[in-house]
Amino acid sequence: MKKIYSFLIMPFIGMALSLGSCSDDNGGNNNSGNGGNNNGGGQEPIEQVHYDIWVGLDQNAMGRFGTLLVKNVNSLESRDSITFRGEGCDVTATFGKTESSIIRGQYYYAVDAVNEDRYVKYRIMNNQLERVAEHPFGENTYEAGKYTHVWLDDNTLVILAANGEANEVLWTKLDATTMNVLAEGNLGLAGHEGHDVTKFTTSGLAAYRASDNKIIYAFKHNPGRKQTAPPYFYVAFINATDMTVESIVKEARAEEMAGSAYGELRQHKMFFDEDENLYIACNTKIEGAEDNTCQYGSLLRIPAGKTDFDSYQGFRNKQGKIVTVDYMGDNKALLYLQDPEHTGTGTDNSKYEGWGNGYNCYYAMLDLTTDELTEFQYDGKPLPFCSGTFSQRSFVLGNKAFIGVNPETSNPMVYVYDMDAKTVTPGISIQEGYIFTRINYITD
Amino acid sequence: MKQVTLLLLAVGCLLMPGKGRAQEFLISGRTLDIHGEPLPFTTIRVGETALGASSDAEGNYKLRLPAGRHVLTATLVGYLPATRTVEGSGEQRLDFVLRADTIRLQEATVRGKSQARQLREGTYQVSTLDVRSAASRTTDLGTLVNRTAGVRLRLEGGLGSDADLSLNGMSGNAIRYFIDEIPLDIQGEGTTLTHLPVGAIERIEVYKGVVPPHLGSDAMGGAIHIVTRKEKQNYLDASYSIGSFHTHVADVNGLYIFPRTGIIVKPSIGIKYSRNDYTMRAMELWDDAAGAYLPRDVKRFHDDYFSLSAEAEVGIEHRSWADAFYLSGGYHQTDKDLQSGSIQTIVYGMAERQEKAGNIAVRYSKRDFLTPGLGVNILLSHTWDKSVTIDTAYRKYSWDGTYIRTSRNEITGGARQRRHYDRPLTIARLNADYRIKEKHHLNFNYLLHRSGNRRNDDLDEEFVPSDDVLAKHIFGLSYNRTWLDGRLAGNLFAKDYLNHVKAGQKDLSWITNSDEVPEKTTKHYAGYGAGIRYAFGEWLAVKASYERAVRLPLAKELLGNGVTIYANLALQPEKSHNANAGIYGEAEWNGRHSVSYEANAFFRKTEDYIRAVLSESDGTIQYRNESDVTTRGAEGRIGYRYGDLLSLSANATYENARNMDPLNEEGKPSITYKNKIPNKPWLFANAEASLALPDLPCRGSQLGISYFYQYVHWFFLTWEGYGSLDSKARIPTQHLHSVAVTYTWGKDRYHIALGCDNLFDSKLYDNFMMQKPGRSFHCKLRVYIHK
Repeated sequence: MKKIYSFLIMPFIGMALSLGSCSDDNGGNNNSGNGGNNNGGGQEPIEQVHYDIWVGLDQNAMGRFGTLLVKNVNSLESRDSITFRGEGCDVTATFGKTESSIIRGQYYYAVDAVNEDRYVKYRIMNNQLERVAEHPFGENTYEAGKYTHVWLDDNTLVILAANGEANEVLWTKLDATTMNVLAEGNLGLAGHEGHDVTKFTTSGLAAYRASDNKIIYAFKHNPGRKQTAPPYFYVAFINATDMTVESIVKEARAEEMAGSAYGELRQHKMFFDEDENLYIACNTKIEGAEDNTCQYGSLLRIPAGKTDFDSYQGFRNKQGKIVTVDYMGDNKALLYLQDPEHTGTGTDNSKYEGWGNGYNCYYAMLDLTTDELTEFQYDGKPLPFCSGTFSQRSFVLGNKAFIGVNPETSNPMVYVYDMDAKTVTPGISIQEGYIFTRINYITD
Repeated sequence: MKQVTLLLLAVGCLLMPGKGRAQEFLISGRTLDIHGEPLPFTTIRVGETALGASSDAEGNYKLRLPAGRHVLTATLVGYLPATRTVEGSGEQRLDFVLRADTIRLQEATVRGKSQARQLREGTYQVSTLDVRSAASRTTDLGTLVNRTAGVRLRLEGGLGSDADLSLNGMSGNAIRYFIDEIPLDIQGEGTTLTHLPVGAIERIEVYKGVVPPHLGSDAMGGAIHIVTRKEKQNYLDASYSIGSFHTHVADVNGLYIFPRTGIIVKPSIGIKYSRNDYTMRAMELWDDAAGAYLPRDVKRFHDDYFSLSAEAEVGIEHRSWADAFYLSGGYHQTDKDLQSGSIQTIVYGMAERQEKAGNIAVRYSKRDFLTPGLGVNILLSHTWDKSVTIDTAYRKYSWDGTYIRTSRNEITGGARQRRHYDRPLTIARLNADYRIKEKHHLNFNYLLHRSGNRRNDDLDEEFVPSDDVLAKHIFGLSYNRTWLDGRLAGNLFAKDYLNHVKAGQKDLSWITNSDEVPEKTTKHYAGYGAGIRYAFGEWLAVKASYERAVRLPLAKELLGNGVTIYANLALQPEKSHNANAGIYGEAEWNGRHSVSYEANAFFRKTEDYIRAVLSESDGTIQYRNESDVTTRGAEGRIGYRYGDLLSLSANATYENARNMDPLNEEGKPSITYKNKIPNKPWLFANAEASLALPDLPCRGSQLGISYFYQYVHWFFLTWEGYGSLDSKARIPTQHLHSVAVTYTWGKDRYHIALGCDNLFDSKLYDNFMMQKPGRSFHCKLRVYIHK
């Protein structure tokens, strides 16, 4: 360009989160956060939390919300109907691109989608979004919303994702108080024996097993959208102290883990039970199906202390695709399932028809021992079917499961399942028309 | 030629019946500028009649008139009309002296039957920008257009930055661009207003809502029509400007007529370069000592922009077999560094985009083609258009220019990319205008627009190459007539759109609907409209127009891109009801004072709106027909002139665009139904004052001083009314002040202009978190030599 500059000049030259305080009640692992395994499964005293309800007003082509709002409420069990007219915190400028985040204690943690150059810790209080701490990337960089994570302890957050060429998996340990980079590197999976992956899934899925200090990392080969992926995936067992890969196992009973690109930043995909058995939600393409999205789900288990799956296979009846999972305790799991046949949007799950963005999802409870699936009901009728396969509208807290539905013909509503009483009661509702995407709890 | 003309006139006089000669008289003379230089090809009109003549290359004219009193007006683009009265019998001599219209306001408010006024007196809602009169002080056409009522150009940065133009509430793909009635795509898909050399442009016509059929377009929200210079005298117009942020702009264009053969050569070249290294204020940079991000003012460091636009036309005019026949060729190149992502906080330091396009064309026009009254205009062109986006650096930059090495590219965060786009374009146009009688004429227009779209990537193995073809045939037929001595004018028009798609893809039929449509499809859609204008007098005229407009899907919308966008072969065109109604007029008193005004209301209702919809399962996109948006608005303009000394003008626009789709993406009642569309300017205004001091400091020179002000009211980034007000992001109010001083001397040959934009160094935004340049200065030197 400098040549051009000279060229132009010449002819005319003559012319003139402070610390979260989640308890560790999940059978000895420290993965607990707000509402799942890595984001949830925490067991805060219900009196010491409030709830954030996330809604969108519209969503554009790239999945960005034109307007994304968050409202703090003190209870989800009230029968109030809420609106966001003039109320709630408008977080579009920060989370509109991707509402992905890691939720723990009082805070939200994320690779900043606004700057894409730092790790940030946020708090949403009194209708205001506050940056509590932030720190620039070290050597490793991540894309906003495309990584997986584990908590090693209350103050040590590890994030992992494939690099740009997807030929290696990066990791970074962060100080959750300051968001400083404590350590970073890569897993060295590219040169590791025991797998045939040359292009790694974008994020993979990770969980931390505290008893033996292992990060359990699920990954598979990602051949791109137009090619067929191999019908199996892998799990690596990683020493959480030095991040060395100690072993890798192959699992072929399911095609893939239920999340491979966004970790558990938006949805819960696995959980530990009280005995520290890790259950991973998986999905497999229906034989002869028209499209890769036509799948059935299953739950596979890595027993406590083991470095391989056992023979357990849950949700064996191929009754739909697992979208989210939450552990309810007492060997029960809360599943959010996409199932066109069951919901009536399709007649054959192997046909693409019915798998779109219709109201083809529902909530059910799975008995991990008997494999019995029980659809949640209220007043003798199943809870309304829902749309939204990117949503996380459920969590478990104390002895209650909170289930947010997004029905086709009535207001979005939260139902509360009392695990002791085994009853479902309606809770808070939202004015019809909002895109109801998430509920979670936040420590006061 | 002069002798031939005289001979013909003489023969004509001899052959005329005696009776006729007795009732007529001959008038002759010259058309001159104020320095006595001849003005060739000046139009002389007789009152509101069809009688008239043009001066020849030497400025001579002759005209035979019926006996009696006549008002004659001489007009030439770039000059103020001159009016003389003649009464008569016997041969008379009458010279016209036209004054250069250097004081003219940006938005035409001229007196007399200028092109701008003729357009305004048509039935379409159109604003005309006189580029030539502003050529001495302007370096960018986008700036000019942005000062027009109803127009808002939203820039992402400095020179060459991406821009989105909206016209009376419609924007993006709904607006089409033309140059000399041909789609601007002919110069390459990346060519925008910014790329074009100012010196080669005569004027810009901004059609709002209803687009005339002769433009042959499937535009839905309006059209920008760029008209190049049409003067027919030898000239050379060269300019160079230097400005802040290492900005250099050079234009050279000219015309030469070979005396022996009459062959006309019209070369034009424009070069623009800017480093765009303006200061970004209060950018966050990490401070190790403080352990925090601190705000710092920094300069943009990777925003170089270079464009080269070269065109040449060779042809002849005024032959028995052709009024005009031209061959042309062009080359256009743009190299642009990419400094940031969709918001300024995402910084790039190495990514860049390059585009090269070459085109050839042939055009032919002839009046009285085969039969008297029939004029034809034919064009055939082909464009080779190739572009590449280069994103191969594994770096993450900060605003101070430092970076860390990473393992992913800058833009997409993936592997290295060197992505090529090859978009060959063929355009054919036939326009036939038949004047049935003086007050009626029919116009037929046909446009073929065939584009390919081939993509591949040198480095990204994931990328699947694709090859699409889309051809549009657009037919337009209009009937125009006037009544009541021209006080009432009306037109009716109809358009037919044939959309031919060749899509070989058959996979994913349940998604792309490819099993519902054959491999080759040809569909047609119809549009229609009408316009009417009635003039009560100079002081008041009313007009209204309506169009049922159709916009055909673009290639990527219909055929996908092979990677992130699924095809939807069943996609329907967008349709819109566009209506305009307005009044305008002007008054003049004491021969020196004049006031002109214009006020318009508009309505747009869009159906089958083509909207990109996200597939939640894999993040891909598919375009679908969905929402319904209605825009109502009004705009007004008022101008005052005191002779040639002073002119004042102001315009304001209010738009009320609301979502009228009662359902949201989930098929449920939309919470934003009837709410104002967010992230869209809805109230903006411009004001301008110009002073022209002739013969200062010496005779034959002129000093001009201009001041511009632009106001854009703040608006919300997101839907207003939802979320607490103090948590909502806003695009702040803009107050932009600019001044320019122009000095012209040497019989209008030499011009120097000094300008300052953003005089008060305000922090300006058109888009959320995309800072525009602060105060800037430029100096433009121009030499205009003509004979």
